[in-house]
Amino acid sequence: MLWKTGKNPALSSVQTDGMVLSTNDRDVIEACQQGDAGAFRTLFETYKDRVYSIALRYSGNPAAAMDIAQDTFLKLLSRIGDYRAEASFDSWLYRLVVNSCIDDQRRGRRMAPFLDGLIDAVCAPAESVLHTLMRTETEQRIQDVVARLAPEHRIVIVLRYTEGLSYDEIASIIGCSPGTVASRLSRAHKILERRLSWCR
Amino acid sequence: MVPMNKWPQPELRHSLREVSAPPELWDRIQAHKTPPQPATNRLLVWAMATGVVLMAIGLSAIRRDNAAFPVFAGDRCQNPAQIRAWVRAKTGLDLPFRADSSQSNQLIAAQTIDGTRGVKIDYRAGNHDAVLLVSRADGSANSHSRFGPAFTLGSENPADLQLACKLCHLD
Repeated sequence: MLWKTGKNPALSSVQTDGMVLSTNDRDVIEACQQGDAGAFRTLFETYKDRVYSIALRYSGNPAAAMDIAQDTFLKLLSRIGDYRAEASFDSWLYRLVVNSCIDDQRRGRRMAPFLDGLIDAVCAPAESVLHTLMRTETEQRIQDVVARLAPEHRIVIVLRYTEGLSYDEIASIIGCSPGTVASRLSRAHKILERRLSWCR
Repeated sequence: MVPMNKWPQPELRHSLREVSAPPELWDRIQAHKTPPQPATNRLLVWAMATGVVLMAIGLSAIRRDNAAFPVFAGDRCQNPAQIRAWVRAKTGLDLPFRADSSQSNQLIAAQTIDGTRGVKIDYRAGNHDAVLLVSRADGSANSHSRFGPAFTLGSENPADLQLACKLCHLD
């Protein structure tokens, strides 16, 4: 058993709170593969927001997003040994998140729109309440409509607009051609346009 | 780029923007995590899995060798001469089937029964399928010794036994 709490010299300059890790930092990944707890924490701090955001935008539900993010990092922990350095770590991790999102949906979770933003708006200073409420309402509506897209449309929208990934990157993550990504995005845009026309 | 003329993409980007993960996410992961499998353990698992697969392949090859011994796949055959030779090889019983028995009584197939103690003959008796069981003579009323070797014959329908005679005899 190599799960350690000790310090790896390669990680001496890595701060778990400061997210100093650069993309595909091989030292950290290799240390994590060897069971270094500090390295795992570093990976978590580096990727937690991305993982959680994809999960939240896909599910439209903070509780579901927490479950998906937790599942993703537990998968990362158990499968990090399968990762090969020649591939992009980002893409590998994105695949884990996407699979966790799909798994969560298969488990039949009920997707409920969340009200956190609305509550925040109501608690805002009085002069900006109306403006904030309107903006929050629009955002809420968009998120709600995105969360109701078909899974194959939803995931390309989330990867495109939450993560800003290219068609090639999305294609690599979800295992299809860039042409298919373009086609799904186009279809998703049309659906969004139709369903969101009232708030334009 | 996929054009999206009527709905502004910046609005989508803003609404779907990245957010911060809740601080309790780390605690939840800590509560559920199990240590990763170290590389050495993984190698051991792979080595063991490879050994099991090789063993299975070896056993499968041995089984294939054994299964190839019977002359007739599935211990079944439809040629009277071949059946006779096969039954003799399998059970020591020499059943003198007529060469044309497959036409006259429509001999269908033979199967060993109870190991090598006897043989089950499937044939067509008149307008129905019948079964003749043959084993070594046991001195019972059904023992048959018309041509030297003694057999004990059995059938679900006694009338079929008369028809079964034609498998080996003209009259």
